[in-house]
Amino acid sequence: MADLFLPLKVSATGLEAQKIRLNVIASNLANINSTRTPEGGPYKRKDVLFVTYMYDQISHGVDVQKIVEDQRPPRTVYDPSHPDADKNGYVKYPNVNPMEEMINMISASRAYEANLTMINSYKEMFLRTLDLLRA
Amino acid sequence: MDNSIKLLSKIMDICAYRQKILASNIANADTPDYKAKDINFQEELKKAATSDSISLKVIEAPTTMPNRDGNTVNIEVEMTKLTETLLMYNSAVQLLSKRIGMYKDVARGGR
Amino acid sequence: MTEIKNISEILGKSLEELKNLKGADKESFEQALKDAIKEASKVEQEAQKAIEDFAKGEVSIHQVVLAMEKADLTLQTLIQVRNKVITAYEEISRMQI
Repeated sequence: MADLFLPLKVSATGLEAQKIRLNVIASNLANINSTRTPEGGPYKRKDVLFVTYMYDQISHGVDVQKIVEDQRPPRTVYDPSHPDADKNGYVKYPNVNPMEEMINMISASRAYEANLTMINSYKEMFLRTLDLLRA
Repeated sequence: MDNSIKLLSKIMDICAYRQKILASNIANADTPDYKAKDINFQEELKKAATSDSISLKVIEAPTTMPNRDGNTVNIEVEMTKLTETLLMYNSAVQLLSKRIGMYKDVARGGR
Repeated sequence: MTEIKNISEILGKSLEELKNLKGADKESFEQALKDAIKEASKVEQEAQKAIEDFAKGEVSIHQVVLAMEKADLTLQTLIQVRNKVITAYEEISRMQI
C-alpha cells in the first residue's frame, strides 16, 4: 500500500541513525583516556555501521546494523607512573583521535539537520498544497 | 447523503485521539519502563473509509532500539508521527471547510 | 471586401435555417444543460471518491485537492449557468406581447 507519509518515515530513520552515531561519538570522546574496560585493555573506538532499509522501490531508509569496534592499535604513551603502565613504562591509551571525532561529530549533526530540513520541506509542500483549498 | 463529511470528521477524531497518545509519549520520554503507545494510524484511517465504526485500539508502538531504563520512546519518531498527524488533521480540516463551503454556495444559490 | 447586403436577406436566411432544424438538434440546449449537470455530478462523485482514497492512503494530497477544486469549479459554473437561465426565463416572462 502506498503510504502517504513515507518520506517522513524515511527522514525519521535518518534522524535516529544520526542520533545513535552522535551518541557513539560522545562515548568515544568521553572515553578518550579510559585505559580500563570491563573486557580488559584500553577502550576501543566504536563506530556505527549503517545499512539501507528498503521501504519500496524509491524510498530507502537507514538502519544501524551494529556498532563495530575500531581495530586500529592503541596509542602508546611513555608514563611509568601510570598504574596501567607495562614493564617498559608504556601505557596503552584508546585509539581515539579527537580531531577525527570532532569531524565526525560535525558530519553527524549536519546530517541530522539535513533530515530535519527534509521533514520541514515535506510539511511545507503538503501545507502549500492544502492552501489551494483556501480561496 | 454525503459520506465525505462524515468520513472527514472521523479522520479528525482519529487524529485528535492519536495526538493525545503522542503527547503522553513525549511527556514520558524519560520515565523508566514506559512503553511508547500508538494506534495503527493507516489501518484506522482505512477502516474509517471502508466501514462505519472506528475502534481506536491502543497498541504498543514498535521500536527499533531498546533504550536505557526500558523506555521505548524515541523522540525523533514521535516528532515525525506528530507531523504526520498534524498534516492529516489539517487536510481533513481544509477539505471539510471546502466541502461545507460548496454546500453553502448551493444553498445560497450563488448569490 | 465584405459585400453590403440587405439585412433582411441575411436574417431571413438564418431564420430559414432555424426552421429546418431537425428534432434532435432542436433539443440541443436542453441536452447541453443535462450533460453539464451529469458532468458536474460525475466530478462531484470523483471528489468524494478521492477523499475516501486519501483516507485509505491510496492517493496523494495534491490529487485530492485538485479533485476538490475541480468539483468546486464545476459546481460554481453550474450555479452561475442556472442563475443565468432563471434570469433569462424571468425576462421572457415579463415580456409584453
